Amino acid sequence: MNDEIRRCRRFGWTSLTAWALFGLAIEAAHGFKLGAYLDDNLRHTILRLAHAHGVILALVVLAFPATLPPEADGRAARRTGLLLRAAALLIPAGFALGAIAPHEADPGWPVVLVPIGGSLLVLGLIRTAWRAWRFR
Amino acid sequence: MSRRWLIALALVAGVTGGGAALRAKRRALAADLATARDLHGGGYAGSLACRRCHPDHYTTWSRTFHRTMTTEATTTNIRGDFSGATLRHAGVEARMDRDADGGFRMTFRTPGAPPRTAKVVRAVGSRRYQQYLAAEGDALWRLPVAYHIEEKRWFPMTGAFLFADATAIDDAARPRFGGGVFDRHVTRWNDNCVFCHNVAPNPGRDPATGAFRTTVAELGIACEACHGPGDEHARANADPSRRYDLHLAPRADPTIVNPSRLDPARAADVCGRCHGQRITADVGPFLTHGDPFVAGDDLARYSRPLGRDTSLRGDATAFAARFWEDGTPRLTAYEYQGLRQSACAIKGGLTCTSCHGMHEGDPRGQIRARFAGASADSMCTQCHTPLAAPAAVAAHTHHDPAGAGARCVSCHMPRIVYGVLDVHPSHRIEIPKVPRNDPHDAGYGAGRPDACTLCHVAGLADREKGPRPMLSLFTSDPVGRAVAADALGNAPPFGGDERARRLGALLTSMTDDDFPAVRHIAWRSLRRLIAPGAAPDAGLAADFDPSADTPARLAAVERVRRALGPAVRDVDVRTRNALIIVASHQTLEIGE
Repeated sequence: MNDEIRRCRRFGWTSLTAWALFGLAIEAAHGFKLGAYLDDNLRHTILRLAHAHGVILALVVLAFPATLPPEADGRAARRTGLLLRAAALLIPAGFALGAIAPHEADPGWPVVLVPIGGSLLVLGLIRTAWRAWRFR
Repeated sequence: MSRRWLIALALVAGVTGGGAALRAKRRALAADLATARDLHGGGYAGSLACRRCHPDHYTTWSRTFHRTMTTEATTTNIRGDFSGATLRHAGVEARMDRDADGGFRMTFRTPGAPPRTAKVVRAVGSRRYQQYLAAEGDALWRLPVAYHIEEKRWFPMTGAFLFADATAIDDAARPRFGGGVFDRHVTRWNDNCVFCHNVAPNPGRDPATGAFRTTVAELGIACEACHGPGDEHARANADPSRRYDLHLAPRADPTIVNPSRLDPARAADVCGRCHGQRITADVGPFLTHGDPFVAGDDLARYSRPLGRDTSLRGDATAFAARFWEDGTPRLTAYEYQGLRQSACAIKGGLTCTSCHGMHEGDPRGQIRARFAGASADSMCTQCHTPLAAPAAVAAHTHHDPAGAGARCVSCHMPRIVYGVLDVHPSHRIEIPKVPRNDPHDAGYGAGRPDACTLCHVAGLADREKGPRPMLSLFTSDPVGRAVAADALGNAPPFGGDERARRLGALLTSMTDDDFPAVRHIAWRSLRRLIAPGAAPDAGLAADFDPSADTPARLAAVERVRRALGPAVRDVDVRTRNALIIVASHQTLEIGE
């Protein structure tokens, strides 16, 4: 259990720092009116989505251990934590990498990571919700 | 079996099943993309559906005048001054204002007749001038008054076409607005304008009753006018796997037409549908079922382009006046014919999109961005590469390589085409030749202006050197006079009192020419000479109305003449009278 808490804490804070820095970078791109960022509406949108998802999912990973009931099964918690961390990695990375060479209205092919990460996230959330109902 | 094994089994089954499904999907997609489609009869999705996947193309098209070719009469679309402005012409007063609901209307008052009010329901055009449509029964009619956007004033439609003053029409089938001459260009939209100014036009004329149930897929020239019906394309590509398959291995999608993938002749046909007046053996099916042409078709399947010798009901000269004697088009909307006559297209595969881009460049002309401004010669040197160097330009043109006289289009696409109250470059790209009134000379033929003398306009005494503009302004037919009037305003002045003689000739044309369209172009050229770059509604000659009656025109011209004083050298009256006698006063139907 303590290992899982440590993993989530390390991943969560690292991820939050990385995506906050990413946010700073795109704000700077906005501030300095960088054409490569502002002129392509699709790239603009998906980079903002990458930042938003990265930050929010990092917070979800950080919050996850705090919501575990004391009597929770350690192995099950580890699997759920793994799902959430994978989702927190794949979803924003899919958006960010999809901004490289996007098509006119479709992000680049790495955006395929987003639905994969989304599926893992939903699975992780279902498991977390189920355990929240199961244990008092 | 343990839980771990069950999970492993499920994973293996999932991966195997998913892989098989993916392979089946790719096979189906490959078969789909390999299946040619007949787009005739296909559904139209509309430009908003296209925007979902092609926002950049939608935006670049939205900038163009194609989009606003036909529009509903809304505050956004109407460019005319409907604040109560009035126009008097041929004894009729037209008043343009808004009704109590904010609708746009025109009221026509003719002495001895009750006033007639027409509610504007649609507008045609948005660049040079805008025309207005009113509903009457099952049809829409072009109203007799239009708004000149660049000049910010109303004018009668009689002044836009090559018709002499007081050319009336006796057609009881047309609704009456002002009557007589005033209504000369009242035209039914349903079987005229509709064909070239909208997507998938269908007049829907009932052959038995003659009634119209006109439909268009979209007003204006939108995506599907050039790309074909797109409903199946939009539905098929709602599937992201199909889109990404096409993104990752770009190839033709048979559900849509991409003109850039067509061969040059078929690509030109897409534009030629509207930019090349044509004729069909039987117009009945066109009127009943609409134009069957779909982008990618051979235009010759349905119609053939009009030429100088095209016959209409046994009359082999029916269209002759629309072409110079050597067959070069002299009106706009014949650019397709000009291109087909050009060696660059016949031998070199030139097509419309070699120079024009529908999604780029200045909307006025839509010349591709890479050919804008100082790069204009690149249109030609993209093929004629040896002529790209300045030294080669000087040797080739015998003009200053930096000057207008050395630009490719100045000599190879001279301004000899009349249309929409302006004179335009010819799209017959050719080697310039100077006719010398010599029967053995292989020049253009009598009457056709040449590239050299459109700049070196010379004077009235140079008759032996060919149809120079100063002379043609009085002796030619209406197109020749319009071209000459334009040249006198565009050509650089060459020493001496040439500018003064040009001003005198243009002022004479503004009073004496009996074609308002020619007077209009003479007026515009005069303004170019006396105040280059001035706004059309400002300056010395701003109050001149080319459609006004003779006394009003004389008075306006006299004011200009007095203000310019010795800067004008008038045309000798006897010379002028002798020249005007030989001028032709033939009217030209512009292709309706």
